[in-house]
Formats: sequence, C-alpha cells, structure tokens
Amino acid sequence: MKAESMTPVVELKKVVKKFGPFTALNGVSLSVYPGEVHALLGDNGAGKSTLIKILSGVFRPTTGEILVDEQEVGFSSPRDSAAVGIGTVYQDLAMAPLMPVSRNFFLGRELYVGPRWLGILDDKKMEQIALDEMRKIGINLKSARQIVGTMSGGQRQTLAIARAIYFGAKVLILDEPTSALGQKQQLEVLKTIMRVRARGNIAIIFITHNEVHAQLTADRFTFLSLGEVIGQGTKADIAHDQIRHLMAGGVEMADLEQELAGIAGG
Amino acid sequence: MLKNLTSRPEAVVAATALALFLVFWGLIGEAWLNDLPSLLRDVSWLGIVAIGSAIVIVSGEFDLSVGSVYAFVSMIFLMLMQSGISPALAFLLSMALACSIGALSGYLVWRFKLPSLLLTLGFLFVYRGLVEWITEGFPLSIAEEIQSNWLLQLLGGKTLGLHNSIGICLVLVLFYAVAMTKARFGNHVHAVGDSEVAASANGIPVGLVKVKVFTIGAMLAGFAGVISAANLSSVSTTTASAMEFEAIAAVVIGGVSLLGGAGTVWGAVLGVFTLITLKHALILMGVNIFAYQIVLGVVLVGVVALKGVVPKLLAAEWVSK
Repeated sequence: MKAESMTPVVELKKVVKKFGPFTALNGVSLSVYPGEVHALLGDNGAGKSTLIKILSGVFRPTTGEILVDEQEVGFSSPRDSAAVGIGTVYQDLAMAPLMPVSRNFFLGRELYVGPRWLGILDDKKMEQIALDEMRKIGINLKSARQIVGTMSGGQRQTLAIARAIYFGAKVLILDEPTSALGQKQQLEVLKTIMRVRARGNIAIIFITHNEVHAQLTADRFTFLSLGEVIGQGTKADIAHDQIRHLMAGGVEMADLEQELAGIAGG
Repeated sequence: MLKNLTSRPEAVVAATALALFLVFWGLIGEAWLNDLPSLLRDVSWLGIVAIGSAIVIVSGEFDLSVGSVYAFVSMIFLMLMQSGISPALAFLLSMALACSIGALSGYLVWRFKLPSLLLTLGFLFVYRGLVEWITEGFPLSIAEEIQSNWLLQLLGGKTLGLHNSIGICLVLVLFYAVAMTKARFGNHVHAVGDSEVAASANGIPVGLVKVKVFTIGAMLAGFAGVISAANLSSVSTTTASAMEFEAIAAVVIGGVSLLGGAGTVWGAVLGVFTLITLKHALILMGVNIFAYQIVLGVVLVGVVALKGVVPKLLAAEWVSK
C-alpha cells in the first residue's frame, strides 16, 4: 500500500468526547493520508457528526489528541481548524442561493481593486478564478455570474469543494455530500470526489451511510457505532460482505432476518 | 447591454413611470410641466428615505420607524437652531442623532434576535409620540433671519429652477448603487439578507452589517427630514406620517424582494417616482387627495399579486445580470 510509506496528514489518537454523562465518542483513533479517500461510516447516532465537529474546531475533545502533519494541535474555533488546512463542507454548504457563483466562492474573502478599506470588489478576477477552480474538478460553467440557486445539487457541492480547496484545504471533510441528492447528482459528486483524489495532495474524509458510495470511492474505511470504532482498514483489508455487516452496526444479518421473520409470522 | 436592461424588473418600473408621466402630461397639459419641479422635489425627499429602506429590506429586515425618525430628527434640527446653535452645528448634531437611532435599532435586532418589523413598529410610536409631546401639536418654524443661511440654502434651496435636493438624491442613489453592487458592503448586505447562516459561516460579521444598514436607513430618513425642513422652514406633528409605508410600497414596486437578498436602490427610487407621479396627478386633476391612499394600496396589492406569480429565484436572476 502506498499510504503505509506516507505520513498521515491528520491523525486522531484515542479521542473521547463527553457531553455531561453522555459519551459521544469513546476513544476513536484514525489516520487520514493525502491522496486518499477515507470513508467514515456509521448509523445515525454513531458519533460521525461529533467527530466532524471536533476536526472542524466546533467542539474540543474531552481527552485524546489531534495531530496535523504530526504536530499536535488544539482548535478553539472553526477558524483555527481552517488555518491548518482542514476544510469542512457541510450539508447546507453555506451558500447564499440568490447570489452568483463567484460571489459565493469568495464570500467573506472577497478580492478588491484599489485600497482595501474602500472595499471595491474585483469581480472580474473573482469570476475568472471561480470558473477556473470549478473547471479543475470537472464542472464547466458558462458564467460565474450564474445564480447558485439555479445550479443542480451536484454542481453546488462541487462549488463548495472547489472553494474549500482554493482556500487552502489539504484535508476535505465532506458531510454526507450525496445524501440529499438524486441518483444522477450523486454520481456527479462521486466523480468530483475522485477528481480531487486524483490530485494526490488532498485527503478526503467522506462521511456517508451509503456503503455503495463508500466502496466506489474509498481507499480506507472507518466504521463507527455508538461512539466506538468497530472496524477499520484499507479496501484490501475489508471484505465486501463485511462492510454491510459493519454498516448495520455489527448486528448479524442472520439474526435480523430471523427477528423480522418472527414479526411477520407473529 | 440593452437585453440585460429590459430583463430587469427595474426596467419595467422605469417604463411604467415614464408612461404614466406622459399620460398625465396628455391629460393635464401645461400645468403638469409647471408642477414638475415640485414633483421632483417630493420624489427626492421620499427617494432619499427609500434608498435606506431598500438597503434595510435587502438585508432581510424592516424599518417601520423611518417616517417618525424623519419628523423627530427634523424637529430636533429646528429646535437646536431656535436655541441659537448655528445651522451647520445643528445639522451635524441632528445627523449624529439619526445615526444613533438607527444604530440602536440595528443593535437590538441583532443582539436580542428581535423581529425588526415589531421593534421598529414600537419605535414608530416612540419617536412620533416624542414629536407630538414636545411640540404639543404646534408646528415649529425656522426664524426668518437664518433662513438665508448657506447650509439651509444648499439643502432646501433651488438652482436653475430645480430643488437642490434632486441633485442630492441623485448623488446618493449613485453612491449607494455602487456600494450595494460593486463593494464589500453591498455584498455582505445581500449575503446576510439571502442566508444569514451562510453569511456567518463564511465569516461575515452579521451583527455589524445589521447595525450598519439600520444606521444608514435612519441617517437617510433624518437627512431627508432635515432637507425638507430647510425647504419648508417648518415641521409639524403630521410631517412624514405614514411615510415608512410609502417608502416600503415604493421599494416593493421597484422590484426589491421583501424576503431579502435581492433588489436595487435605483429600483426603489423609480418606485418612488411612480408613486409621487400618481399622487401629483390626482391632485392636479382635482381628485380628492385621500384617493391617493386608495391608489397606493391598490398598486401595492397589484404588485404583490404579480410577484407571487414570478418566482423569487427568477427575480434574483434579473438582479444579477
């Protein structure tokens, strides 16, 4: 495996997160390598959201370490996380639907002509960069002035990803990027993920509960259930049927079938 | 360029306003042209207020207090001059007052997450009540000996037969049109009005943007009030009553989305032109002036009904082109 010889760009070591008496994460460790897609799978309540929020600086872990490029880091805000190159693309994508692509791309990080205090926007440059960056990961827009609300869900996802990469993300966290989309749009997003992967220098954490999407794209898997890692490994390590088993939170399919049959029969 | 212009809602309003103007010219004749300076003067006063209302509405909020602020600030302006303060200093103090009134509304809306519609409805009564209480219902006026002061002449006087306020309004429209479409300020106002969550997730200081828009709204309302006081040399308790609704009606007619995130200042001023044209035409045609309210209401209902047919997204696409 090529990754074995590389150093992880992000590493979690025995991360625990407690909310009062409730333990959301109970000693989770994982390593994410550049140029790889790391699928993070698990059912609702498995702790995926808590894990993302720790990586993106929203929550602080109760105990455990976060390492970025082998240096221990502590985030007190999402800004800190972004500063070390962790880009989080949330499900709502943080887009203003009535505004053009380029204005969304540079929202809060506008480019200016003339003195900065005047705040005159450099629309031409912002439009050019937005178009170029979108093109790099496979979306050809006619105009960067297109209103984001008129784009497809897949295109919007691509815009959010392109934006995160342009602003320095070396680790991209994608929070259920395919879950709210139709079949065709899901495919678009998977293609985008593979194009980003092909760049070789960006690590992707792909959160999903769709095992097919994970199998199609991921190099490495981590399965969470009730705050704990119940399975982890590379594509080669984990057999296909095992994935389905782990997705179900470790419940034996046979048991489940029997139980369901029992209900139907009763 | 031409195609872009015709696909904007503002272009429709401009064409409507022009058509109305020509129709009334035909109906009324020479008296219509003689009335033009005073028509444009009224457009400029309400127009200055509407610029502010448009910006506040694009940011996703409402300010119903602008009519009362207009009256309150112009009253203070007159009272300061009556107490012997020079017009220039009185002007600066009045503007500072207007700005603080707006900043207070904006701060309260942001800090306590208050619905601006209700908060500013409260302030509508507060400032109007202050005007009525302080003046005890009597009009205030500017002493004759200072009416020729340069600042009062600049704000309220005429140049080449046209009121200076028309030029002032045009400069403000230009300034705020650029600020809203080409500058960071407008970009952030649009973003906050479109999606507050997205704006704050991208590091836009939402609270500061809200304080700014309310400050500008109240400042422009107070400024228009001072200009009209300088022109009329008086203020009464009924000055600018219901003006906030006229301003909002004009803004809506001018293509600004009441849901926030879309609209232009020049659209709003074109909306003002349409309304004031109707108002003056009714007066000149000898129709009872109270009919204006009915016309205003009917036009507003018509525009809102029309907008219901056109999806919000389409309106946004127009704006961006």
